[in-house]
Amino acid sequence: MPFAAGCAAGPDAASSGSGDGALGGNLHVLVAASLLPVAQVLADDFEQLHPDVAVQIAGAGSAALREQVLAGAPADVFIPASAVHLDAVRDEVGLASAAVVVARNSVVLAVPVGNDAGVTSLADLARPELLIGLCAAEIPCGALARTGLAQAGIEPVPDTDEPNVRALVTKLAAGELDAAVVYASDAAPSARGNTGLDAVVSLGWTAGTAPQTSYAAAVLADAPNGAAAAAFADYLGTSAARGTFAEFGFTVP
Amino acid sequence: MTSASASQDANHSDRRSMRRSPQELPPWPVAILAAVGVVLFALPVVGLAARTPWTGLWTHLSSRFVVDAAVLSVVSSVAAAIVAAAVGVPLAWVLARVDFRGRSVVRALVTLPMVLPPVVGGAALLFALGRRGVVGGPLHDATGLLLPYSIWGVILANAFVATPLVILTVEGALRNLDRRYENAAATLGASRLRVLWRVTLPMIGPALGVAVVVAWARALGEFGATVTFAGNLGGRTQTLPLAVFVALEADRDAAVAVSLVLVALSLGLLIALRDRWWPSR
Repeated sequence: MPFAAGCAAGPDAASSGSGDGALGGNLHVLVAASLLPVAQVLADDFEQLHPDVAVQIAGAGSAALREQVLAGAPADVFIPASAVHLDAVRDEVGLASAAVVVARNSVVLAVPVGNDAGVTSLADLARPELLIGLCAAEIPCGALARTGLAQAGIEPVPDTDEPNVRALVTKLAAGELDAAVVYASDAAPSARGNTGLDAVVSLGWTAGTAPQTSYAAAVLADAPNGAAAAAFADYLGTSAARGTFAEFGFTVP
Repeated sequence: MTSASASQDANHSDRRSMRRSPQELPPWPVAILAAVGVVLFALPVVGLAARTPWTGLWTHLSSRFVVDAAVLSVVSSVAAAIVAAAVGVPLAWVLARVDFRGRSVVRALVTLPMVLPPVVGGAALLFALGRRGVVGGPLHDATGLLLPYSIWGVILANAFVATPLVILTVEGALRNLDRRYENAAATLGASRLRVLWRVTLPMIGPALGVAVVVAWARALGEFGATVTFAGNLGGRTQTLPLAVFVALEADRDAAVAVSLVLVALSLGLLIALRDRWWPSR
């Protein structure tokens, strides 16, 4: 495919008057677990624009993805939930261009539909009789939640520190937790179906401004499909993509 | 292994003659594929050892979260092995000895956790025994008992994945057992319970030992069902595998150090097991 694009397709691309014709092949996009639902929709929309590109989305914890990139897994675009992981990848394998923030997420207090425990504010996270869930402090959503709770002067008494945010939302949606701090995107009702998680209700951040995290999209220096990777990163900044992010509960820069 | 261990007297002379037989050289395809097999399983251990921060090893291993997780792991995996034996041996006996309709369905059902992704098993346990679960809901309403987020949940999740190993091993041993000894005991007037206790169980002793230790090792390494059903809280439900997983996110050296302990423990156990119970000589 790269051979064809480089030699035979050159004049073709020029005559059609569009660089898009040269884009094709597989595009490997590694995204933070919290981005998975929106990334799949964004990938579908991008493929509509570039039918010859097959976008492969891999979602996992940002640290696990970083390890995969550093170990040489096929990766074109990397979008972690924390700058720490981006810095590690930039220092060790390099980026093709500066990473660009494509979306932001905040943490919210969320409860299962029905809110049987009568949770109203973040202060309820300190009630020992309730079943409280947080993300583990080691992962971005857990770090963000703890920063915010510390700022609000609340000492939570969690019953579980889930190792990934999807697992936390699943327990909350099943009613096996009374309250949890999750990403706004996890508790946002989405017109395009946020994977059946409509059993969760966001109470917002009840103590001032919610802490935020940024997702920066980085094209890797040794991306096997650099042209498509750059096009995908550009696409994430378009108004269409920004609309999709907003629809899934993210804020856009 | 079970046939040889079951009827010692009958096989004794055979084994003795096999022991004296000259060393055999494998045909070359067998030798090559066997070598590939060894490399496949040795490489990850080598990789782990290569990444291990040997100098700071003790600092990592003596940290609070590792000690807490280790204690919880030992307690919960031993408890799970006991539960697995207590439930698995009777089940194996019924499956091996009682011919009833639907036996193959029951056998498939009780060994399902072996093929089920552990996370699915954990989610199924949560939907059954969680606060809103079909059984857990009424149980919680009546007694206030809550299995998830407690050591009981960890033990249950561990036993769920470990018990099938006991069932399969013990059922195989029971099927290969020479029934004449049990029949003789019964003829001499021993009750069925006495025959089970004094004849059957001692005769399958080696297989039972292997079954319980393998179940214990499986419970010690259990991750998916535990985290899905019991959650992850340091000092309460965070076992060593969960601690490794969480530490991988933040402190790779600590995670590798703990992983090494798990590998060393399991490897040592399996080597000891081979020499102790499996008829290798």
